[in-house]
Amino acid sequence: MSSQFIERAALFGGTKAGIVTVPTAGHDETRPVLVVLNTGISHRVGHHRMHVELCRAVARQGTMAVRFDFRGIGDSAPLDGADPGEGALADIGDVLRELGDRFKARRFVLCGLCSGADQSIHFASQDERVVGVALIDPQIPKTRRHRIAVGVGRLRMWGTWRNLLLGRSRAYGRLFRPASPPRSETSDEYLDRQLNRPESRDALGRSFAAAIDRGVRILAVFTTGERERWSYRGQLFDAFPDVPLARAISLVELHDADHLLSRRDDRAKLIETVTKWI
Amino acid sequence: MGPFFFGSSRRRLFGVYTPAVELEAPPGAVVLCQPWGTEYIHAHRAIVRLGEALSRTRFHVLRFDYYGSGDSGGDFAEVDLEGWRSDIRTAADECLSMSGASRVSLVGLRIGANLAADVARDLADLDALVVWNPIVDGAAYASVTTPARRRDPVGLRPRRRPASHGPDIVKVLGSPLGEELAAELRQVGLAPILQAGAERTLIVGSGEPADRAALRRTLSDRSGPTLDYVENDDVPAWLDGHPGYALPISTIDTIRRWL
Repeated sequence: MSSQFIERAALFGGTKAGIVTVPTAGHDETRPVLVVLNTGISHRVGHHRMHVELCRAVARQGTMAVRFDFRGIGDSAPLDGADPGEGALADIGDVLRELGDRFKARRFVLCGLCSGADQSIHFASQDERVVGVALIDPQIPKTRRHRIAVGVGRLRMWGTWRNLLLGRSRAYGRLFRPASPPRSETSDEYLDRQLNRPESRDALGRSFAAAIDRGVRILAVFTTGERERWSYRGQLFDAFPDVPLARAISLVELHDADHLLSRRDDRAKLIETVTKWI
Repeated sequence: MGPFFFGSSRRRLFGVYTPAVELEAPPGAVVLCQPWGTEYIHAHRAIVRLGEALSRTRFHVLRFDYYGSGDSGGDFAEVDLEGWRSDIRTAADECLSMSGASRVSLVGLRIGANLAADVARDLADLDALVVWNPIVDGAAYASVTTPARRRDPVGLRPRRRPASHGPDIVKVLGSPLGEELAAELRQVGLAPILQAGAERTLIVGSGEPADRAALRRTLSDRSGPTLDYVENDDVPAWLDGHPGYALPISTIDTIRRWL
C-alpha cells in the first residue's frame, strides 16, 4: 500500500503546514494536482481522517494530492489579524505557486467540505490554474421550494407536535410569550443568516458563473444529512437560475450520509466518487 | 516550528517539533500525547496551543500522531494500544535527540494520558508525567459511538438504519476499529496512572462536572505515591461543540506552570 505513494511534510511559505502525497512514480504533469482545504476550523487531517484517506486514494491512482492548513488553523502560523476569508484565498494562491515551483504543477483541482467547498469555488472563479473543484456540501442559498420542504418536513415530525403540545416550540414562545427575553443566536443560525444575505448569495452566484465561464469542471456532492441546508436535487439550479450550472456540474447525492461523513461506508463512497471524477 | 516524519519506514510517524524560546535555562523536553478519534480532531487546537505555551519557556516540544491516526502512516485497521505505546517511546527518543535534553516529560490528554502513564512506568529518561482528563472507565469510553448527527433530516425521508461495518468492526468515537482494539480500550483505566512511577505526576481534571467528579472519586480511593491533582472549570476541548470552541486556557496555564 505505502509503496504506491510517498508523503512529505511541507511548510508552504514558511507558514502553512501541509502534507504532499506524491505517487511513487512521481508527479505526472499531465494530471492536475488535488488540493484539499480545511473544513471550518478543523485541521487538514479532516473529520474521521477523511482528507488523509482521500489524498492517499488519489495518489494511488497516480495523481499528486496536497492537504494543508490555512494560517490560523491546525499547525500553520497565526493569521495575525488578517480577515480569515481573504487570508484563506491568499493561502491557496501561495500553496499553488509553491507547488508550481517545486513540482512544475500547473493545473489544480480544489476540494473541500462545507466552508472548504465555498472557498474552493470562490478561488476557482478567479484563478486560471484551477481546472476543477470538488465541492462537498457547499453552501446553497435557500429557495422557496426548500423552505416549504423543510417546513413540511418539520410538520411530519413527531417531535414538532410534542414540543408544541408541551409549550417548548419556538413558534409557541413567539406567540404566547412575546415578553420573554430574546434567545441568543446559535452559531449555525448566525452562519445561516450570513450566508443567505443577498450580497453573499450574489457573490456565490458570481463565483459559480465565473468558474463555469472559464471552463472549470465542478463536482458537487451532497449528503442528505444536511436537509436543513439542502433538500432537493435541483436546489442549486433554482438558487441561481441565471447561471448555466446544469452544463458544468456533476451532481452526486450521498444518501443518508451525515455532513461529516461519520460512517466509513459513506467516506468510501465519497472517495470513490472524487477519485473517479478527477 | 517544523512538521516532519520520523520513526521507521514501516511505521512512519508525523510530528511537529517546536523548539524552546528560552535558551538560557536548562533545556527541557516534552512529548505531547494526543487523544484519538473525534476527540483528536476537536482537541487539536488545544494541543497546539499547549505546545506553543510550553515552548515559550524552556521546553522543546514534540507533538505527534499515533500510527494509523492523523497524518501518520497506516490505517485504522492496523492499530493497537501496544503499538501506540511504542510510538510514544519512539517520540520520546526523537524529542531527546532533537533537543539535546537529558530527560523528557510526557503530557497526555484522554487516551493519550493513559498511554503516557503506561509508558512512564519504564521510560528511563522520564522527568515528569502530566495526565489530563484520562479515561477513567474504558468500557464507557469504548461504548461511546458517534453516529450521524441527530439534528439531520427534517422528516423528508425516513432514515435508514446505519450501514453495517461487518461483525468484527464496531464504531468508537466515529472511527471504525477491530474488536481486538475495542477490547483493549475497554480495559483502559486509571490503575496504571496511579502506579506510573514518575518522580512527579500531575493529574488535571477539567471539562464536565460529572467527569471531574468521576476522576476525583477514583483518586480519593487510591493509595500509593503522591500525585498532584488540579481541577479546572475549563472547557472540554476534546468534545464537539464545546462552548464557543473556546480553548482551555486555564488548564494550559496550569500545566505550563506545574512543569
